[in-house]
Order: sequence, then structure tokens, then C-alpha cells
Amino acid sequence: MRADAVKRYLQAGAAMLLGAGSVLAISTGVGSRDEARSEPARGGDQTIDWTAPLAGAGVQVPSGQAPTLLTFVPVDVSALGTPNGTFVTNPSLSTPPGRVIAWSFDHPKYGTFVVVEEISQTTQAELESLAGCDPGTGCQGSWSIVQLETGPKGLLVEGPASTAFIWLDRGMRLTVMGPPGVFSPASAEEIADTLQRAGV
Amino acid sequence: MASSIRWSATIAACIVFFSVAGFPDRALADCATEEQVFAGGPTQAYGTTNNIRLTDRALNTACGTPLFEAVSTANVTLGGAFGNWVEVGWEEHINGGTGAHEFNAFTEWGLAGNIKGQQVVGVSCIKLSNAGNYYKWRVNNVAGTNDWTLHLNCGSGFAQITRYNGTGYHSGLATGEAARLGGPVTGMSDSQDTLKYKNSSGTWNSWTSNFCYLDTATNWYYSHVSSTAYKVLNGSGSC
Repeated sequence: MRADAVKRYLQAGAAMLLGAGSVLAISTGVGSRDEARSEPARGGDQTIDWTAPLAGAGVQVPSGQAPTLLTFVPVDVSALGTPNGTFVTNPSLSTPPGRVIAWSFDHPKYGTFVVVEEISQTTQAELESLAGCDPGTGCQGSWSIVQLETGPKGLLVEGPASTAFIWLDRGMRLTVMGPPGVFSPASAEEIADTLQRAGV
Repeated sequence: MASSIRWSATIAACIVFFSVAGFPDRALADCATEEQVFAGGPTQAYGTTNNIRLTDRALNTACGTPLFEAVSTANVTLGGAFGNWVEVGWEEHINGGTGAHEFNAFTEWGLAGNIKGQQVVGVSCIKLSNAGNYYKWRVNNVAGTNDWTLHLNCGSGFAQITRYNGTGYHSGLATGEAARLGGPVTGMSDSQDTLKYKNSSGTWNSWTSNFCYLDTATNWYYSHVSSTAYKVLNGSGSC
């Protein structure tokens, strides 16, 4: 993994160097670029805590209490077993329409993963427009559209920070994601299908 | 015998080198691990404006170049789940040719922790000689869309750096971020104040509170100053 990570940095650095020309050509309106400065690459990304997916904005709650804190009926995740934790946006931070729910799992078949459910702010067409990944514009990994066995099409992201599948159902946005290189796209799609069959 | 002496000398040299320079595997691991301290603000924000100190930080020369080592940004967690974000701010790195510390403005957004788009832009006011000054950075939702524009005010008004279209979100949690690569050698000193967010009506208001959102750094911590200001300070602590 360390070697892979270093390789990613080198690749990202090369990509940014190649992309520097286009960056330099952009008229930012905020001043001119100093000449001869090196172009760095941010190999990093946002590191997700698989045991606390909402970070400090979330609180762990008994699963039965979660629906009382939300304006939607959360998906029934019981077909995936018992989650390690159920998390909701801290009520002291947000009114119910702004809250999300997340479950963390340590599953005997799929390993560590997280399910997030929130009110969708997007459309199916916009979600599908995110397919494709150009390293020249900083994009990491692979972004593609995949159709589940149960029917919905969603966005599969295989990147250095996670393997994730994102899809929409009846006004909700669902994300299944797990650690990169460990949690497979097939696992993400199987879990999404399981949730669809459970009646998302 | 001569061979034995050569091996002994080689081993001794390696011991001296690694004790001075550190074991390369450890150093590379630190360079590949991003540590972050986030402050969280209002939820359902349609933008955030953060007045951020341009801080010249200690950087880890063992990491090689080019690499973002120190970062400070205005940031919105898209929706409400950490890992979906759009941000603008500065990064500091070591020039691969001269070894000097340098700054750039940069923008970035992504989903599930993975970067979808990133731009690095040289800006006249974001430079080493201006370290210590504060600059306003703005993450702004374009009304009626899921597009976001990223801005910087060098002193004569906000100017757009870039725009990310069709992110899938129009609001989220207003935040501020300090990040580093390079382990404990790299500094994380950060100061953000005059924090404002945009509400659903398009009005910019002061943050009403802020809290420790995430702290994965081993020797730096979030320090609350007021509802509209916080710092990242050296020392032990976590959220």
C-alpha cells in the first residue's frame, strides 16, 4: 500500500505538471502567476473514519431512535446484519431537513463499509454526468456508471480514499462505501442490491 | 577479511545514515498520509467565506517534490456526510529546484473522499513575502444550481478562481480545514476568522458557532476562539 501511495503521488505530480499549461492559461482575475514556480500535486484526499462516518457532526444513536430525528424514513439495513453504529447529524447542529443518517458495518462477508442516506439534492441525469475521470483536471481513480441487478443506475467511484457506489431512489441519495483496495466494487453493488430488495 | 571489513563499514554507514535521516519507509509513509484538522460551522450552508492567515509552515524536506505539504482552506462538506466536499484555499510546498517554500491558491472538490476536480493557480498575493497576512476565500453555490464558484479576495474584492458544475449538491456544512503531509515535521498552524456562511436566501451571515469537526493530526488541535474564529495550535488534543 505504501508503494502504491507513493506511486499515486508521483502519478499525480506528473499529471499536474502536464496540466500546468492549462492552469497557467486560466485568467483568474486575481493577479498574475509568478514565473518559474513548481506545480505541486495534492496526492491526498479526505480520509474517512469508517467507525464515525459523520465525524464530529454526527452522534451515535440507538437504531430505533434514528427515525425520530429525521424527516424521512430511513432504509431498513437489517438485511445486512447489525451495524456497529448508527449515526445521525447532531440535532444541536441542524434542523431535521438538513440531517443525514449513516451506518457503519464490520460484515463477515463484505468487511468494513458504511451506508449513508440523505435527501437527494440532485437528479439522475446529473449523477450520471459525473462518470469519467480526467487526471489532467485532478480527478482520482475511476468514475463510471453501473446498473444494479435490481434496476437503478448509479455512480461507481474507485479511488484512493474509497470504493463507493452512489445511487438515487425515490428522492433519497444512498452511498455505500468502504476502504479502497479492500472493499470491492462487486461488494458495493451487492449491498446496494440488498438494500433495494429490502425496499429502499 | 577485506570483504568482511567492507560489509562492516557499509552496515555502520547505514546505521549512521538512518539514525540521522530516518528510515525511508517511515518517512515515505508520513509523506503519503494526510492529517487534517477541521472546524465545522453552520449546516445547510450555500457557501462559506473564511478569512485565513497565510502561514509559512515547517515543511518536511524528506517528502520530495512536488507535493502539497501544508494546506488551509475554506470548505463545504456537501450534503452532510464527511468525504463529499468543495474547497478553496492555499497550499505550501517546497520548490523542487530551489528548495524554497512557495504558495499557490488551489481549488478542489470530490465525493466519497476521492478528488473529482482540482486546480492549482498562482496568484500574486499568495506568496511567501505575504506570509502573516490574512486573505478571504469564498466557496459559493450558484443559486438554483449544483454548481460552485471558488473565489479569493486579495484586497480589491472577490475574484473567481474557478467553477465546478453539476456536483450533485447545492448546500452542506460550512467548514475550515488545515491539512498536512509529512508527519510531525510539517507544521499545521492555522488561524481563520470573520467566518461567514450563505443561507438559502443568498444572504451572507456570520457563523453562529463552530466546533471541532475532525482532528486526525497527532500533535495539533482545534482551538475555539469565538463563534466566528478558531485556531489550530501545536499540542495534544482531539475532537
